Amino acid sequence: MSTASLALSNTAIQRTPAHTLAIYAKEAKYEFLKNLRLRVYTASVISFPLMFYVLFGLVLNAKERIAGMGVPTYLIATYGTFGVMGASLFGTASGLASDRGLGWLQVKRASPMPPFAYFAAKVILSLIFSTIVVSLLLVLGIGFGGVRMPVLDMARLMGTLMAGSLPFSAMGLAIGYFAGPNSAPAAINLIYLPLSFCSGLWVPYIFLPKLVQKIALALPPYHLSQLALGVVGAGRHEPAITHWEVLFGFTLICLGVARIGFQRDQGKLYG
Amino acid sequence: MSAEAKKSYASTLILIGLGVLAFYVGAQWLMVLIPAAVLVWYPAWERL
Repeated sequence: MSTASLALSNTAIQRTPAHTLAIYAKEAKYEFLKNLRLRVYTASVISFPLMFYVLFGLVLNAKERIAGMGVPTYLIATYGTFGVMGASLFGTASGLASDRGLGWLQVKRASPMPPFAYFAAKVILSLIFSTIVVSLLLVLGIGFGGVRMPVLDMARLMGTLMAGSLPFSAMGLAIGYFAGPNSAPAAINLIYLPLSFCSGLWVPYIFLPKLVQKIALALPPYHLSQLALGVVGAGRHEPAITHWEVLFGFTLICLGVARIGFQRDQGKLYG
Repeated sequence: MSAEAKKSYASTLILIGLGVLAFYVGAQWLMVLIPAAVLVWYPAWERL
């Protein structure tokens, strides 16, 4: 009987930085296209913040003022935070949980692609969808809500919310590693919706009950919304660095939890 | 548990610890915490 032997080498893959960058870009591109074609994802992530903004910011309270600021301007910051949070959580957690369930991560692991490209693609996807949501909110506000904001402030608002999507992408990774593929969307909603309400993203912070106001101080979306509100000239005028500090701490904790999930999966698969 | 896994768990715990620390220390400590987190995080992802 003849036998065949296979020599396996453990040589590290050598790539040029340009080649590595091309892999990252390609992974991000296809991750974006995959989610763009998922109508449930695009519809929920883009349309919910816009729908709430149109209803509460443009139709019902367009002439009202909150903290000396027109409601349409104020709500761009809060619904922007809401949209960024949704895009980041659903983009990372839901995709990661279903990929884990399908065994797609093992396929990726067997390919020569750098594994971090997979996670980077998810974060880039969240950033792209967050940009789309905030841009559309700004278009609606300027076009129909009489929002007037210097271009520099719009860029600052966009930049703040983009940076703010990173903690929620990290949170999405943590959820994605611990939730099952079928339960992930429910788990996200269970976290996302109460967090949004308690952080003053739906009802402005000053109108929240006293107890909820106290809870809000410990919640990351509250801190991101205060940063965004600070850009548009509303908010509680607390030092921005305090909010960044909380978001940074929250990011590290979520990355740590995600890494525990990653190690748990690795242990199950490879011993 | 392999030595590699122990090392990995230790770096994860340090990362979470730094995150918790960020909530309690003053803003000026971010200058220390951010590089520290990168130092802990980078070798972990480099292995990927």
